[in-house]
Amino acid sequence: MMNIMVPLSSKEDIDKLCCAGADEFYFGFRDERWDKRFGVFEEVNRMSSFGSKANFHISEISDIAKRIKENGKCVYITLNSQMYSAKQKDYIKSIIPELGTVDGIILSDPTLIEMIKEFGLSVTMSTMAGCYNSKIINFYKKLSVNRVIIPRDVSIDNIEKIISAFPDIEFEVFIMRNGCKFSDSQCMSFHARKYGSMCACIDYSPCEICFSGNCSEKFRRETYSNNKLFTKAFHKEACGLCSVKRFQRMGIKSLKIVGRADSAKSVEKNIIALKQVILSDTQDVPFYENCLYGMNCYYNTY
Amino acid sequence: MTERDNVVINLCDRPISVLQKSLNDYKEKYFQIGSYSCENYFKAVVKLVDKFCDCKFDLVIPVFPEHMLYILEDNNFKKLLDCSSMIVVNDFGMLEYFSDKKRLRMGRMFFRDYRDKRYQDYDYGEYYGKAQELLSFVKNCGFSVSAIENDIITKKYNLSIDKDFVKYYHYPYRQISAGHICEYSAIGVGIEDKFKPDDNCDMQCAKVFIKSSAGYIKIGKNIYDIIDESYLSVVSQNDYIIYTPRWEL
Repeated sequence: MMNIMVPLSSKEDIDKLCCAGADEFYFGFRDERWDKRFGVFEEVNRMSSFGSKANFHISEISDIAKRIKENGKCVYITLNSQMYSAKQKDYIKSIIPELGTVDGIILSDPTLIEMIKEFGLSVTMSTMAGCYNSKIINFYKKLSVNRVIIPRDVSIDNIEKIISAFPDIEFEVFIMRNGCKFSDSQCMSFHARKYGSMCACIDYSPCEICFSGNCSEKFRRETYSNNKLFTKAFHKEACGLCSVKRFQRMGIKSLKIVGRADSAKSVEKNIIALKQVILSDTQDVPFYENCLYGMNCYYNTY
Repeated sequence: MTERDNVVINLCDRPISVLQKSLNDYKEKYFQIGSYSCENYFKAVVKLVDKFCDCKFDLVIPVFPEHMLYILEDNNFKKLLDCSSMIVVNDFGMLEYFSDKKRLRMGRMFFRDYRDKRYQDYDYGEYYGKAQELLSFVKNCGFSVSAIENDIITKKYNLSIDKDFVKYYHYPYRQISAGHICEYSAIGVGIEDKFKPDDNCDMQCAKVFIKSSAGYIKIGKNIYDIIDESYLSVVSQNDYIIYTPRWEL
C-alpha cells in the first residue's frame, strides 16, 4: 500500500490528518541555541526562515513524535539544509536524542548520513540532495540510505526508469501543492525572510527580455506570452493526482503532500482526495479546479 | 581579466554560434566548455568535438537526467573527455563515475552555501565556507579530486580548505539557482506541452535571455546575479578565476 506523507505545522492537527488518511508526517524544528551559536543566516533546515509558521520548537518534537506513533504512523524530521559546518554537525549530533522516537531524518548533506545511521534512524535523501538519475542514487545506495525523494522536476518516464533499477530502496514522490520552477537542490538563495523567495521576486518584478538581432516578430510575441505563463501561472500550485495509479504500479512507497507552512484544512482536503484515488480501482481522478491546462501539473500528464 | 595568469574563460552554456566565434578569440587561452545545467546544450557541444581537440580546455558536465546517461558511452563524448585537461563534475554520480579518470574538479553545483544580494548584512559580511566538510567526506569515499570551484559567496568569503585542492572562483556571474524545467524551451510550444522537465528543444535560449529588475539574469536554465570587482579581494594569487565574458546572443 502506498503511503501518504504529510506536513505538520500544528500538533492540534495530528488526529484530524490521521483520520483523513495520513500515514507519515514530516516537519522541522527551531532552536534558539542554534540561532545564538550560529547566527540568524544559518538554517537548521530549508524552511527555517519560515520560523514558527513551519517549525516546532525542539522541546515539542519528542511529544509530537510520541502522539503520532500512538496513532500508528511514522515521523520524519527535516535536517535538509544544503551544507553544514563541522560545528553545526556537532550540534546536530547532540540534539538527536532530544527528538524522541522519530523514525528517520530527511537529509540533503551526505556528510551527515553516517552519523544519523549510528543513531539507528532511517535516512531519507531529500529533494534538496538532487537525486536526478540512477548514478547519483547508486552513490547514495552504497551509503545505505533507506529512502530517496525524487526531485519534483524529474519526468515521470525517468522516475519509472530510476525506480526499476533500485528495488531495495524506498522512493517518495511529490504529489500535491506548492510547485517549484527551479531545482530544490540547486536553489541557493534564502527562501523566505524579509524579501521572500528569489523566484517570487523574479515573477513579480518587471523584466527586460533581450533578443538576438535576428528574432522574428512571432518569436518575440511568443516569448512574451511564454514568460507571462511561466511567471504568473506555472506551478503556483501543483498536483499529480493523475499519476497516482502509475506510481502505484511502479511501487512508489510514499506520496508527498508539500506545505509545512500551509493551512491544515487545505492539507486535509488534499489527503482525502489522494486517499480516494489510491483506494479506487479505476483511473478516475477527482476534479481539480486549479489544473489550468496542465500549468499546475507535477508530471505533465494533462 | 583575461591578461591575468590563472584565468579560465567560461564558455559554458554560450549559444553555439557565439561559442564557435569565441573560439577564434580564445583558442590560445585556457577555457572551459560544456554546461552546468542543460543536457540538450551539452549534446550540441559534444557534436563539435573536433573544434576543441587542439585547445586547452576543461569539460563541464551537467547533472544529467536519467534518459541522458547514454551519452557516457557516446564516442564523441569520450573523445572530448580525452582531449580535455580537466573534467568538472557537478553531482556525486558523475564524481564516482569519473573518479578513476584524469584530473577532476568539483563544480560549483556541489557547494551550495546561500548567496543572496538582497541581504546586504549577509552579502557584505564575513562568511566561512563549509566546503571542507564535503571535501573530507569525498576523500574518505576514495575519490581523487584535484580542484574545486565556487561562487564568491559574500564579499568577505573565507573558503578555507586543505592546500591539496586548487580553488577556482567564478566571476562575475554568480549562480543563484538552476532547474530542469526550462522557460525558453517552451517558447512556441502549445500550452499543454509547456514547461516539461528536461524537455527537447530548438535551443530557443540562444536567441533570448531575461534581465529581472530584481537584479537577476536568466540565461537558459540558470539564474545568476552579477558581482563586481570588490568581491575579488577573496581571490589569492594561487587561485584561479573562472571568468565569464559579458553575455551576448
